[in-house]
Amino acid sequence: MQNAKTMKDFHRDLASALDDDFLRSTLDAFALAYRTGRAEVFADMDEPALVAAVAGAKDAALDKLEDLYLRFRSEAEKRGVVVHRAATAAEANALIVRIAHDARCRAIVKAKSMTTEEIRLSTALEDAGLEVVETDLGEWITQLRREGPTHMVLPAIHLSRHQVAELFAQVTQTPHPPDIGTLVKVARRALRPKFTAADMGITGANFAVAENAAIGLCTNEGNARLVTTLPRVHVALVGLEKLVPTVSEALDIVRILPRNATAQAVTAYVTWLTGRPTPNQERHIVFLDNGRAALAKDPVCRQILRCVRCGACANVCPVYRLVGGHKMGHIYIGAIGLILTYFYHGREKARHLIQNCIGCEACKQVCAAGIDLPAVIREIRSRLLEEEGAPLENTLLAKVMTSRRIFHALLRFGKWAQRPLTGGTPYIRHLPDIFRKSQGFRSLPAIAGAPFRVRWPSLPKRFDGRVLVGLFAGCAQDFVYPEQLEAAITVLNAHGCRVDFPLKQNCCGLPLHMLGERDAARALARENIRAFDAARFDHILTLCPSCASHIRHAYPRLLADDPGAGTGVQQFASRIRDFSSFLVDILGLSSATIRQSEQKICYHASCHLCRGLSVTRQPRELLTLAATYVPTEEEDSCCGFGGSYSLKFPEISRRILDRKLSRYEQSGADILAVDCPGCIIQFRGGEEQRGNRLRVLHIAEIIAGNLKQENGDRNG
Amino acid sequence: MPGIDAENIARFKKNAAAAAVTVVETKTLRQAVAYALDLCAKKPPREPLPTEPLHPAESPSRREEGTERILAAPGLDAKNAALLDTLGARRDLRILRKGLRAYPAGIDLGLVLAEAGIAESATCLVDATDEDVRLATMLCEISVLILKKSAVAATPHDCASFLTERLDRDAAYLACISGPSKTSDIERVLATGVHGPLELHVALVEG
Ligand code: SF4
Repeated sequence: MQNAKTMKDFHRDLASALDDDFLRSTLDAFALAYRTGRAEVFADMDEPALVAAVAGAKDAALDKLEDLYLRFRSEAEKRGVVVHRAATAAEANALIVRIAHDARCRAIVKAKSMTTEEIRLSTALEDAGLEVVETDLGEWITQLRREGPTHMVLPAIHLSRHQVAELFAQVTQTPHPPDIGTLVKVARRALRPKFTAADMGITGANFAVAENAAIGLCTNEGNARLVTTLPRVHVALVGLEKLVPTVSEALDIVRILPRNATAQAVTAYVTWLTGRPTPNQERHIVFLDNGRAALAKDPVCRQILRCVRCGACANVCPVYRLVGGHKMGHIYIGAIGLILTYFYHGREKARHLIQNCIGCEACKQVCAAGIDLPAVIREIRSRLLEEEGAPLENTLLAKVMTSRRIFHALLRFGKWAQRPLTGGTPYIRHLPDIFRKSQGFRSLPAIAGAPFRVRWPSLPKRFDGRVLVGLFAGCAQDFVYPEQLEAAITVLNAHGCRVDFPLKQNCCGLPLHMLGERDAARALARENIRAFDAARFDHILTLCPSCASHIRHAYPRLLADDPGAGTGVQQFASRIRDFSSFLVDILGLSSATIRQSEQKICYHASCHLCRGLSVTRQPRELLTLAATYVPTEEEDSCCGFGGSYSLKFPEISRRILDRKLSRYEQSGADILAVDCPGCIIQFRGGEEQRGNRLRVLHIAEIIAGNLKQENGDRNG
Repeated sequence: MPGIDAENIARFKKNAAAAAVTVVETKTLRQAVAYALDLCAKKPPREPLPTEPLHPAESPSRREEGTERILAAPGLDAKNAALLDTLGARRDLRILRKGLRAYPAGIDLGLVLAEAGIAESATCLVDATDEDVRLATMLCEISVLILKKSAVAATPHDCASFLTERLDRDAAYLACISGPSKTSDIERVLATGVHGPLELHVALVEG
């Protein structure tokens, strides 16, 4: 459970997790196994269709949440089940304590339910003098350790068999060998009497079907079956958003949940129950609101109510993989955890947590319910700024960047100012001490002697080109790596493009948007749309997929309510293209113009290219054309840069980078090809520190270097 | 009655194997019952709790020796129940048909009829509204489900009307069972029998 009050405390907590070698190796192994397993378990299914079905059904249900609730209640009451509704966590706790007291219950067994964790139900029951035993093995273990779960599906993933054996030895007063089969049997024997002695069983529900007041429980252990059968009273705590109209919608959830959670085709048990267990048993269903009904009306964030709690957004998160669930959520964990903390547990708890997202979009790609988690995270950052006011550095940055003249003048000034730091090299070598400690894991690049916009007028151009291309430079390439843009121009010129570079373009706005500075991001979007007048071009090309993805997806959303934006925003968003797909799909590059070199090249798929723009095939085709492409594992996992993320959380950024580089270095390649200048900053800087075993190049530089002579000659 | 879809059966078997479920195919129900009895007779007996009721034929000393085995088979019709009794007596098994609550420490084997199957996930649908049927699949060490081949459908959606029809009643407890009770909660290593059955066997019967 993450509770840090200050950023300093948060960093301290992160450091303690990063020092836990077992945790990291376990989460690493899980991440790899999950990746392969998930691909297999979805292999013969239409995954996008299933995700769309779940998302569609959930959205439709949210539109009529009240109706569904009323229908459920009347169906349940017809069957002798008592339905309650709690507006807040406190109300739900009080209600369930009252049910227990009224029915003279003393001992309670629980099945796993994140909703009961959300309201800290066990604590409330214990405070009321009731004995509560968690019966899910992982939950029981964490309960005995008096800590919260670290994964929504695998609550005790942070613990080793040795730790569990020690714990069980204390509990049973008998030593046990650290053998998993034995430990599982110990739990079976210890827990079985708890079921029979319990007066009340508490579960959550994976879904609640309005048409017949059935609730569904998906479990592997089967403990929920005993919890709903043996005690005299059964209470189910159900989030309002779990309501669906019919069995059919519930079946889609049953199909996707285990596949996405643990790459399992199905959980061992899916239990559907309605009515009273037996005439002398009671069943109560408590619906929890705790902000959900209001959230269902929130146009941007309501999508999070689609969540089926599969935990996949943690499984693929590079930050979770390093620090685990206790640092990656207050109660709920992973990307959805950062978000739900804000909505269910308040901004105090969310303030620092919400910053700990790189924006790699891995979660969005695997979400069972098609939730755009990164967009909601950005939205919450914006809301937090609006609610709490922006920190000074944000305000300054926003002011500077929205004024192109000041921003660019500053960058050019930086070129002079950095001199004492660079020692004439392309890196900032002499970082001030305080900065070097945290940022020293990778060298930071120096600002180029002359930015691209200054070089542009003297670059060779073709005026006879058949394809009219507008070049969007992006800050990193304009001011740090102008040679990459020049390489691209060489390639474009050689393939019949007429390139123009509108000089009034500015930063795309993504860095500010990531910081939650929505107004500044809007201002930049408008400025770029004006600068380009996109209709003039066949295509707008950028060598930075982060800019491309931001322009394509975020511009239309940012300016949705801006009548002044008109069609310009759509024209701009639909024309923007990344380098690789432009070369392959539009220009049709082939061995006619590209020679295959002897180079061995491995590849990093940038987050905003492979996930942001869904471009995966084309860069690999280009590499195969120009060299020997050496595939490596997890090419598409984040490099750890994330713009300002690596400045805010260098301890995490560093570890992600180290793992990636180690793998690339072991591949036997001599060049690492990258699509995105942000990733290049990270990788080149890391290699510079590690002794430059790999050359890190933008894919444009590789293609330009392998143009067949006659084509290269036609340049200009 | 719908016919048998060979493709569904093949898929069911393949997916069951992947989920560590044992599938046997039998021609008749009698053979399936005999299979369950055989399994029960051969397994090591579970350890009973001292508070469990004694069977009329059982002596306390025999319990101490730990040789008694219990097979629970609620929900069988009279004919199958009689068959079970005859075969069970020959194998020296104690057969229970109700009152399973009295055996919280467990039973050796639970034999239950499934009403439908799903090939996509090798799932058996059991109407466990009767508490004894429910407990027979929960408290046992080995769970045997008997499923007619003709009742195996392709996907869960093919069973939607079955589920809807049963859930429309005043009370229903439907169990979709696709494996033994399992957990990966310690170091993500799969272990079975954490609460319920250590093994799941499905007897696919012709017809
Ligand atoms: S947000 Fe999506 S991926 Fe994360 S737990 Fe919910 S459904 Fe699963």
